[in-house]
Amino acid sequence: MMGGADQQTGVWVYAIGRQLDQPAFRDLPGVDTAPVDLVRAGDLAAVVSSVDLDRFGADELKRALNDLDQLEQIARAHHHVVQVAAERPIVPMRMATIYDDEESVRLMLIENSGAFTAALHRVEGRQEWGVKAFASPAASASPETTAPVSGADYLKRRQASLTAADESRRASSAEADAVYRRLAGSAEAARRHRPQDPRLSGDRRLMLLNAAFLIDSSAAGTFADVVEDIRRTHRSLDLELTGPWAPYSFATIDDTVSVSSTEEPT
Amino acid sequence: MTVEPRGRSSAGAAAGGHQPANLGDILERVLDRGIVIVGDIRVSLLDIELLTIKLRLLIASVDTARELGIDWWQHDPWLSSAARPAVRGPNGDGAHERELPAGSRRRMDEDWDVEGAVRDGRR
Repeated sequence: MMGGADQQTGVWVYAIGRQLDQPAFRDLPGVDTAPVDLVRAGDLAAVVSSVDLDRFGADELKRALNDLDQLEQIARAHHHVVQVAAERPIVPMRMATIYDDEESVRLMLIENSGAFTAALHRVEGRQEWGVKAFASPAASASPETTAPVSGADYLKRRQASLTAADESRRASSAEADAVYRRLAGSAEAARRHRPQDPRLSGDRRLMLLNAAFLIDSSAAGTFADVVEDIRRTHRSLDLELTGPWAPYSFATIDDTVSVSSTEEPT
Repeated sequence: MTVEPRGRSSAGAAAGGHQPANLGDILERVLDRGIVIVGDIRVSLLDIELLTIKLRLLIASVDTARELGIDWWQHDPWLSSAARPAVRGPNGDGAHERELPAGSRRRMDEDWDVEGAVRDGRR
């Protein structure tokens, strides 16, 4: 034990769930390869691991998260644990939720148990699927058959080509809206997110739709069929289906306790 | 976990852990979604430095999309959530925010001054 008693640790929280078993997390490396454990309160459990505050304290972590390589490492580790936990009903926590000790986590579970239970109820038996739509390069390409005969001709063609591409993209954008509406109709819940930058997605195509859908696990095949059908009917779009994801986009306390008036003053 | 995504992309399998998932897909989920409860260690993901990273990663598509008139996300939380967690406690002063109705997150964000990143006033 190098650090001994001086070594301060915090508790990193990945997700909150029910019916969680510790064996599911055995040998699973968490953030900074720490072993993953559970903190229980009633029938709720938090999926946690210990982090060294010398490296995961507020300032240190802030620096780490502002370094894209470290950010990726931490994000992937966090995500991996969340995905494994998502074999059971869970709601993911925003990355970098850290408590002083397990007792604080337990208190947090108790204080928010109503909201967590409601959030879990909403996602139980359901999966998040992602659908992205890109403007199909094939649909927007304008083949040049002959070489321009002059500079003016080139500029004219260039202008026409740009205008056509622009119009084509606008049409694709409207199509993406229609696709979203149709998919939302096949889902329990739907969220539309900002399109990703090509440097993040690694994809040079223009992203027109970046959406998440909450689907009953038993209906995942049907949803995939709908996506497939849209592929056939919307040729100007390239559709990408990803999942199943842990219900990141639908695990919100804000929404789940919205209409209830359970938060009575104590 | 039984249905494999169709089409060219292998990202679906990636999400299930079979191979590295698209970093963008992961980052947008772990950084911008999931339940927000401020822990004991105050690490705000919405610190201005990280916001800069997000802006840097997003700016190209933001510009491109805006040119195309796609702007429905202008008031989405990704950018505008910058100022939110600073005053949020685990169960204290932020509790009322969690009671707001669906869609209120957007409204909440608009109520914050977000360094002019998205809009320059509050209601």
